[in-house]
Amino acid sequence: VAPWLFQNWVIAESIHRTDREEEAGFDLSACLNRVRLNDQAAARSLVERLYPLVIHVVRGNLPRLESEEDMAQEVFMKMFAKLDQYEGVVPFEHWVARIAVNACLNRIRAQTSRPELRWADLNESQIGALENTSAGDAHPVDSLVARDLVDLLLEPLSPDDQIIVRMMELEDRSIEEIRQLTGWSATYIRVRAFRARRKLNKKFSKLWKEGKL
Amino acid sequence: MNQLHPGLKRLMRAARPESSLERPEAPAGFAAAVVRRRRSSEPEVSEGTFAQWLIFRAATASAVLIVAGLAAQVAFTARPAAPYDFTGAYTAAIKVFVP
Repeated sequence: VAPWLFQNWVIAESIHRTDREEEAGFDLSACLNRVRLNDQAAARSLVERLYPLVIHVVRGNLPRLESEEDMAQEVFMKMFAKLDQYEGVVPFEHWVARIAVNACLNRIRAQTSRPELRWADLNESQIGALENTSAGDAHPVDSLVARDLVDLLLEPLSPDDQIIVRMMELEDRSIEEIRQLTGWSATYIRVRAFRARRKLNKKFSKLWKEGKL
Repeated sequence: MNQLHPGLKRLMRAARPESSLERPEAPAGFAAAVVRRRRSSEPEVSEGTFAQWLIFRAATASAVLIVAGLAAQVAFTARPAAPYDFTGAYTAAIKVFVP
């Protein structure tokens, strides 16, 4: 009974403290301690605080036709489940970003591999976007259509290659940033990026030739 | 390092998510939904679970006490007799000193 009483006292005390902290600024370590003690208010404020970071990573690496909100929720559930494993060696935001990247990677791995994209599979807007991008920068392309096309082109690549290309080309991240987010070595990232670009160039050229015929 | 095909590079650039300066806010009810989902996924500690825990602990403590008592009794009864026999001296002393 004593631990239960103590725990409830700590939670009650922390709830009273929340208002004072909001005025003084967000104290992450105190918030994490309260979340570990099952303080619901602290868990809510942690989710609200980390949402921009998580949704940014999810949007950049989310597989096609997946719901961003569902993915973000899954990332937060994993974060709460692993919270006791966080030792404070790296900043908490980096730790959460890595969880988000791994969740996206797992989702990509779970997808069944799709056949290579062919010109006949494209709809009119996608063909228009392809023609515009090939013609030059003067022709604007709808970003949603372009994103859809990029997702289709990336699908036949391996999950690791997809994540690396997304981070390098869509999010403009450096190798060091990718290394921190994924835990892979810089050499591995360089090699995978090299091979992925080569494959993508080959696929793109083939697709373009199909369209010209 | 090799480069992407120029057309593909332009497509990638067009597909980049808009880099808005505003931090995206969590949709209304998102945080509450996550916390609710977290609570529902946690194993609940019911009264039954607590009673089970208490019974298990009490049974363990009883077993430890019984084993310790039996061990003490066995050790006491199985103690070897003293190597010296003082019975004769004791009887003689009683006869001499006790009136």
